[in-house]
Amino acid sequence: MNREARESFTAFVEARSANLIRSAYVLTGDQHAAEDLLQTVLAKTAARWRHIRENPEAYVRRAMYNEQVSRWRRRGREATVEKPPERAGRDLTGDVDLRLSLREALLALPPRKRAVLVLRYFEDLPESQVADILGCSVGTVRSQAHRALARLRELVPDAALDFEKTGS
Amino acid sequence: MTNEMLRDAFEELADEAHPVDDLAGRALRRLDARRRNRRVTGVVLAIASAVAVPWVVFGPGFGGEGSTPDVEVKPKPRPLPADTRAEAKVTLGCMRDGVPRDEMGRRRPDLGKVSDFRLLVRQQVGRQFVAAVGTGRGFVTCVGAKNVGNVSGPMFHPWQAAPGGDLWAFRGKVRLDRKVSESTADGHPYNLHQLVFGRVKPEVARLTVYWNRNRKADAAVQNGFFIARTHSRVVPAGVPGDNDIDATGMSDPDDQVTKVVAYNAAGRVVSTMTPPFPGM
Repeated sequence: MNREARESFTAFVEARSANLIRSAYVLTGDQHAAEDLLQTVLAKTAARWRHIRENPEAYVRRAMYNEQVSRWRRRGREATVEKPPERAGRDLTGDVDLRLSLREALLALPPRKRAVLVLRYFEDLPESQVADILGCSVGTVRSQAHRALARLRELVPDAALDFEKTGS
Repeated sequence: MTNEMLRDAFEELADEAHPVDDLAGRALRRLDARRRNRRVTGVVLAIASAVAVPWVVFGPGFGGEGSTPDVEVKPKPRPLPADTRAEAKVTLGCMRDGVPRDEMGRRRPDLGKVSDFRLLVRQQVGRQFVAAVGTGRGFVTCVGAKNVGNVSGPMFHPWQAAPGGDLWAFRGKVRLDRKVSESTADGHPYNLHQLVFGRVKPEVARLTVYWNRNRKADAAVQNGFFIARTHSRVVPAGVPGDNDIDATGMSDPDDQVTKVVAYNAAGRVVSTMTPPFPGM
């Protein structure tokens, strides 16, 4: 990379890093894993900067989600939680208790299912874009989202999980 | 529980993430290291095949991503975006080539050097611009034009609500730091810019400031900061609406912010604030 390309890459990362680390954290559930994921993806982004500088954000997001799913595949399927997440004692408000359970349940989802939910509900993207990012069909996105939500209902039975249709 | 609760759960999870210092530098170093390793590996393989060595042993550090020698960087407190050359020129103009002085005109070495200041956010207003520059210690609002660095002398304001030096550790999505009347750079003595400057969390992509008398202004949102501007004029003292008569018999108008609404990239409202605004 020449100096000008490095400067524009650095400017892009500095402007977007706060947002990207949040997405990476939601995907991985861990600060170190999120940083490592982001560094890996940004190194790849820098290598292709000449070709993607017009719209780097889309490339970074696609690379981040696919890298995370690939890592999961390389490592083998994670053991999913069979029991509802344990709670650290009843909270007076119940609502806090529920949110903690939901947090644990989200982290217990396999990365691909979690990625689908993150893209749909955290990034607010329509199914077509989720499919585009993950390189699969809209039907696959729907089925993954359906299964992920069903799993959440199992893991957090106290919650009246009444999600809107995932279609858009 | 609805989609909203799921979104909130993700947002809360995302709030646990800490900002990463020098992410671009780390990524570039990782890329450089990977390319170096590839080159070294290529040379080793070439030598190995040339001398027909039947096997090649790669020592630790060749290939794999985990072995790339990232340089350990000490985290800097309160990281702010680096200025490009053009931005540095704006920053210098806003600072009028020197750090602010106190009421007696004395230097304030505690505020750092001019080179410590960065352009935080800037909005073009016709031929003028409004901006804020700052350091980890505080900020200066600025009105300028092509040949005007800053209409007024730089006035320094320390950051409030930044525990541990983290400028984005405030509660909620938006923090309003300053509402200020600034003279315009068009030379007209009665024209004013009413500015609102503050900080936003990463999920805020757009922000609108509503004023009394049915006015609203879309803010510029950059680098986790925002600045919004609306036009105003000083009015003769004694007319309804004035609140601060000065020695010339003129008064700043009674411009009040009535609402601040922040949106995410998808256009969804993520924060709505109404008076009283903490910090202002």
